[in-house]
Amino acid sequence: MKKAHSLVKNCCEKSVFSKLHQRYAKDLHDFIYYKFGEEHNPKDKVQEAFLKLWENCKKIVPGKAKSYLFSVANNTTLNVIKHKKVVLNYELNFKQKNSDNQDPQFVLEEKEYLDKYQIAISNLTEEKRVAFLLNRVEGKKHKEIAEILGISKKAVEKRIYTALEQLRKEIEGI
Amino acid sequence: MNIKKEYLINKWLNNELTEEELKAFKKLDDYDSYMKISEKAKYFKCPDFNTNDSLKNIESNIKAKKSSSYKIRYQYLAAVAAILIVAFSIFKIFNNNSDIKTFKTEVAKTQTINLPDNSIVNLSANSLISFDNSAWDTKRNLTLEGEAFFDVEKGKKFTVETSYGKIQVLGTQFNVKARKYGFEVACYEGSVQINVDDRIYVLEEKNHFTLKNKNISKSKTVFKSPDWKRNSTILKSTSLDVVLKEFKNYYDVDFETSTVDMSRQYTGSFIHNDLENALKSITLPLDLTYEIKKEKVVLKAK
Repeated sequence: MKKAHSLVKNCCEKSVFSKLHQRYAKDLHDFIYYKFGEEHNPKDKVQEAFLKLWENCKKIVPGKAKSYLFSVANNTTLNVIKHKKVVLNYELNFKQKNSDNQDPQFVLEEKEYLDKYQIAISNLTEEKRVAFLLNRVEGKKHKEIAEILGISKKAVEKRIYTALEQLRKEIEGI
Repeated sequence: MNIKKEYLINKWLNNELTEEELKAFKKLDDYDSYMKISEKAKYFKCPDFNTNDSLKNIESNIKAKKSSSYKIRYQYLAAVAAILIVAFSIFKIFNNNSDIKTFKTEVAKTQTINLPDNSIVNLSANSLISFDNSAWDTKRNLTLEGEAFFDVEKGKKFTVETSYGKIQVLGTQFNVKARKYGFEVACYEGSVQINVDDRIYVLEEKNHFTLKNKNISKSKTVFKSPDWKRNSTILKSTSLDVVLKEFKNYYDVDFETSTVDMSRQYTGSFIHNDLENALKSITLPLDLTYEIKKEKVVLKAK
């Protein structure tokens, strides 16, 4: 795949474009979601970023497309919000699936825990939150996250670890 | 110990724990806490993202953008066109002010027209004048086909354009006859300047200018107004052909003249309000007879 890309000078080829989409759209979406929350409609940001890529396809070689997409999506979202607290929703339906064998106290405790968790997550810096959730929720390895964020693997490791410890402290009051 | 713990946790986070390390990890005091945090994080999973739907949306958007960019171009063109039209009309309004007024008289009808500066035009039968009403203040200019009497108020140069040439005055009374078969100007007051064929003639009061067969002649007139205003036409040494053409300006008739010599010269006059009388005025001196047949008059030699 990488070889094929390097042969193509730009992203104007439709097949190249859809391959880039296949490859990066979901990561881009998840990244925007965990960073800015649902409020800013990550799906729209993905669309905007890819449209922008298409508009400028002549100037961008496929190898640079990923960083282009992420910075466009990031910047357009940053333009909308400025340091606003991001509160991520947790999925309540998740619980209801097994609600039969859950006693009310358990449900209540669970809810309490998740509420705390929610606050703790929103208290994380955006850098830590993104890295942690991409890892724990999306199951991405350090290396993959490093690629997405354009930082070193070591930095990713640090961010996830400190996020984990911070969450633990806040939720469990350690 | 802490370093060891961090190492284990990082390995665990990256799914790289060996079996031995996993055992060590499980023995950590906070193992349950870590596991719970890791487990519960999944509740915060972002909504599903459908890559196919996303791509479809983007593709349809690209298409829409393409067509909308054309639309924008058309809108742009339309806007430019509109601006040009508006600019052109403004230019027209301030520069040209083309508010052309035209007056036309039928056969046997006359009309009096008051011009914007109170000058008066008496338009003879079967004639036409037109002028630019809104530019009148700056340019007293009108065109004439046929015959008309002008009583011009004093002021800027007043110009009458005809197919023969221009007549220019400052303020006088004069008559212009610019028929297809002849050009005459008579001045009743002041003086007029006539431009014909790049030559300028000045006509003084009570003078009469005639252009006939490219010959120019001047004569005196005793009248204070043109003949047609007195309901008659005075003709001097005019061929019968022209006489009848002149006649037809005042009477809606056709002539049957196949047996008559049309080049015969006529001097005299006919009145405009009595057909029989007028016909007699023409036929008697030329020794002709006339017969009126349903809008057609037959002229015959005696």
